[in-house]
Amino acid sequence: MAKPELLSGTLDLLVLQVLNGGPLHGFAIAERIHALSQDVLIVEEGSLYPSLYRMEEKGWIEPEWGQSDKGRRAKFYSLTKEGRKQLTAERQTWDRIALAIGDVLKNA
Amino acid sequence: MKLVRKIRFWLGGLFSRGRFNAEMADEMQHHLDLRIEKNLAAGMTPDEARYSALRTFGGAEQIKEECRDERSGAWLGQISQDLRYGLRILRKNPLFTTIAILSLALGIGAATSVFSLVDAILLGSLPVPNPQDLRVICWSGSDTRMMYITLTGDPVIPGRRAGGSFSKDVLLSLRKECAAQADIFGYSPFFGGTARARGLPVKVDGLLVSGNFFSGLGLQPLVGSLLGPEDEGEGSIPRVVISYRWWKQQFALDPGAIGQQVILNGNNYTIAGVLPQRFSGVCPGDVPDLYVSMSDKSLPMPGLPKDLPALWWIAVMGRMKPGVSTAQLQAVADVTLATQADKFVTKPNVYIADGRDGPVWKIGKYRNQLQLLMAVVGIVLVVACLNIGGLLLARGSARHHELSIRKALGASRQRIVRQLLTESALISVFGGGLGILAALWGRSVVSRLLAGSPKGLNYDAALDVRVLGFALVVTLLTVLLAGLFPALKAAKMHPQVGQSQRGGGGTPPLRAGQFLVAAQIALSLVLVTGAGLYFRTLVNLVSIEPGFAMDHLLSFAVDPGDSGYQASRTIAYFNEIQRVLSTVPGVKSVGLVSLPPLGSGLRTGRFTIPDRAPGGQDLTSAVLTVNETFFGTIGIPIIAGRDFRANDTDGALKVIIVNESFLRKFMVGVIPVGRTIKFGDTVWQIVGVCRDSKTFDIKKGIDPTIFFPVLQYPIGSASIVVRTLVSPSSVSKEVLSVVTAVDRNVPVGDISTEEQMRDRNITPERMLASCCGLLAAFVMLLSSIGLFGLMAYDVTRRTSEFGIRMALGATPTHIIRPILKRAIALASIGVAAGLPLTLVLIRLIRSNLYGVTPFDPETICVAVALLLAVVLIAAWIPVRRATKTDPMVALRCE
Repeated sequence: MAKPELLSGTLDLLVLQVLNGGPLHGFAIAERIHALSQDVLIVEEGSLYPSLYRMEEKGWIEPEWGQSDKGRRAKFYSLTKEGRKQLTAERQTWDRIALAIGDVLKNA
Repeated sequence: MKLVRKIRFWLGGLFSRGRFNAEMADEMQHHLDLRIEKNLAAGMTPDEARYSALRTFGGAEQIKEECRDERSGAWLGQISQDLRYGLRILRKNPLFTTIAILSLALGIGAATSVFSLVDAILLGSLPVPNPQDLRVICWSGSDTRMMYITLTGDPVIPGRRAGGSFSKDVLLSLRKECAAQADIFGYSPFFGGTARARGLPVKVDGLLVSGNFFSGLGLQPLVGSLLGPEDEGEGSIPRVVISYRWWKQQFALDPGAIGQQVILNGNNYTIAGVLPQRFSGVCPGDVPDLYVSMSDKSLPMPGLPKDLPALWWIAVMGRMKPGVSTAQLQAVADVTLATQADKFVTKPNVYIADGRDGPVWKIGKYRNQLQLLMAVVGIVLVVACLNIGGLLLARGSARHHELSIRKALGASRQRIVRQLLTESALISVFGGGLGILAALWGRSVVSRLLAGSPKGLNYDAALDVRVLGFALVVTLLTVLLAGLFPALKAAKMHPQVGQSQRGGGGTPPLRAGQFLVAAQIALSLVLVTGAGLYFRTLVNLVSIEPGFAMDHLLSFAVDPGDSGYQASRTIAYFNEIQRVLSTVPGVKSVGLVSLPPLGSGLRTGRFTIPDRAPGGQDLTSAVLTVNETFFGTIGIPIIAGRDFRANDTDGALKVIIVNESFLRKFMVGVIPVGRTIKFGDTVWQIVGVCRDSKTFDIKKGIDPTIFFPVLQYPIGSASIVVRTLVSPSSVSKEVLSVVTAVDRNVPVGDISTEEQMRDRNITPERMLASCCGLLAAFVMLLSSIGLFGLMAYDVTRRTSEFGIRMALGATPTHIIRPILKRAIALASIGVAAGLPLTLVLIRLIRSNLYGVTPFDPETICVAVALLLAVVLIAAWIPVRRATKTDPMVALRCE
């Protein structure tokens, strides 16, 4: 079976969503998305990190160096106020699109 | 808040790049480590775990590069990175860098200095407010009856007589009648007055101006006040306005100069004010230092009543009143002129020209030389650009390997193009900067070249914004043209191709490079031929014998007449100078002549030959006044009759001496001595004939000349010639000091040797020859560097091929011959293309040549031979290197 690909632009949404639960480092973000999607979605590092740096640049997330649960130095990302706003906005957009696509698929 | 964060990011991008990169590496490593741990937990062996993690992760460096690109400060960091890398690359190739920067600097320097002058002469407006409102007012008519003085050159109106000078009456009428339409003002230049401020008397040029001259132009004084209508009245205290230049020369910019006295031609004037530095007169090329009211009695033509209605001597300009059209002014002025001037001009009309540049008719004199210089400089600039293009092209090819590695490491195509363009930009910034510095120096050279005198054309050609803009545009175009093509070519390349070609045989020969080199050779031929023709002209001019010995001869001008000397005192003054000079050790003899030998000045007079049938008609000859020691001192032999004597005085028989050309023209087949001519109202008897000599200008032919004795034909100013026994420059200081001591009120002109006078005659030719020679040598050097680069690239590219062939038994000749053949073919194509171009362009300099035709086959042959020789040498060096290749080394290059 072909590897399902993330729709472009949805990675940011997913990352923001998992960060909504609290600060995480890059590996944990990828793992969390993988797990929450029932092992369907695989976040590639080549997409994840540019996305993290882009969102940091936009001020949606904020990095902080801290200790991981295994006692190692890791860079944790957390949502900012703007990030939360962005998440709400993107979720609404996504919900509308998902509903719309669902309608089309059901009724066509 | 948002902005603060942005700035922090930018600064971070610039200054803490090291920490940023380290943290990013840490982050990625942490990710990898966790992935490996997870793999281990899933039961993989350590090796498998590591390998799988790395494979999933992908190219870490590429991800890092993408992350860096996400940062908003990224472009800043990248630019500074590009700049530093570019500088490092340039430093690594000092030869390439030097050649590229120097060729650009010279091209831009030459272009900017010439453009500065073109700008000042052809495009520049007068430095006054709203110059577009100014008009130059002239007249035209079908016939004229007046004493007309040409001041600023006259406009040309086909089928009619036209002029730019008016009488004082007409100026005043125009000013009055047209007052509603325009503010009309007048001025008239005077030259060679004698002025004395704080130091010794000096020669000055100046303007006589109407009272509303300065207000009409809209000028404000820098210090003090300017002349106004009150200065026009009779009996007003004579006031003078001085130029910034004169203020600096005479008063060292001392504001205390205002109110001080200047003695101008023996009369006292009070300094009213100083003009701003940027204003240097209204006529192109003339720079007046003193401005005096035109109602002044003593200037510029003592003896001629300046109010005379028949004397037309004032140039007129006007400033339009707001909302008035030129046609309205024309209508009113036409009526005024018709009523005021119909006695002097038949069917008069006013002709109104644009006045923003002042009267521009004089410019024509310089236009040809300016255009020629523009062409030469254009060629230099084009060759410089071609050369940089060729260099960048060859270097781009040589850098395949480096660029392919950068690409493999994640550099985007855009980034590589930007990097290469940054390098070109660096070259152009350095080259352009150096070029502007060169232009600052070069414009004075160009100005001297045009004026043909050491003082230079009096143009204050400041490097203004437009000129700088021009330099900038040229620089940027060069960068784009020369840098973009190689950059795009390099960026298109596939990384693997680049790597496999490491010094290999697969790179194509540089087709574009060949074209560039051929074009450079073609253009070089034009300049080398031009320089050759100028050089021959110069040689011809220097080898001209004037007809007297130029060595050990000094001359200088004295002007007692301007300092108020009357005729008898002038003679006494001249005698005193001769007496004190004869006491100076090293002086052999001293003579006096009205115009300096080879001083380029010529005075002519009309005479008749009464005893010759039919007689009566006016003849023209050059005239010189000399004393009885002149011919002996300068060494022009008297070939018939006698020399002047001390007793050829006012009361004695009026005598003259004529030269051979005079006889050939006016007295063919008669014995001249004893014959008479009528000059003025006096009959003069020819008592001697002197040998022909070039006393006026070394370049010109010899004019028929009449020599008058100074005691019978008085003069107010003269040149003293001094024949020395020792080197003339060793006594010139002593000569100057004893002459100055005779009367400190009399200005003594520059003392020069006769060789210097001759050199001044041929200054334009010398300057053009040296300028063209220098530029031609430079362009030839550039072309040979271009060819050298191309050949060196070719040889490097084919090193392994040569190695194989030599291993298989090829001799060096086998290898050299085809390469040299290609060099010669390239040069021949260049020459073939250059020859017709040369023949077309060289025609333009015909008027500047002396004793050589533009299509001089010898010069062209020598130029072609020289060019081919230089090309061969340039090709030979890299080719020789090819044959020295050790086959084993060459093969290992693969």
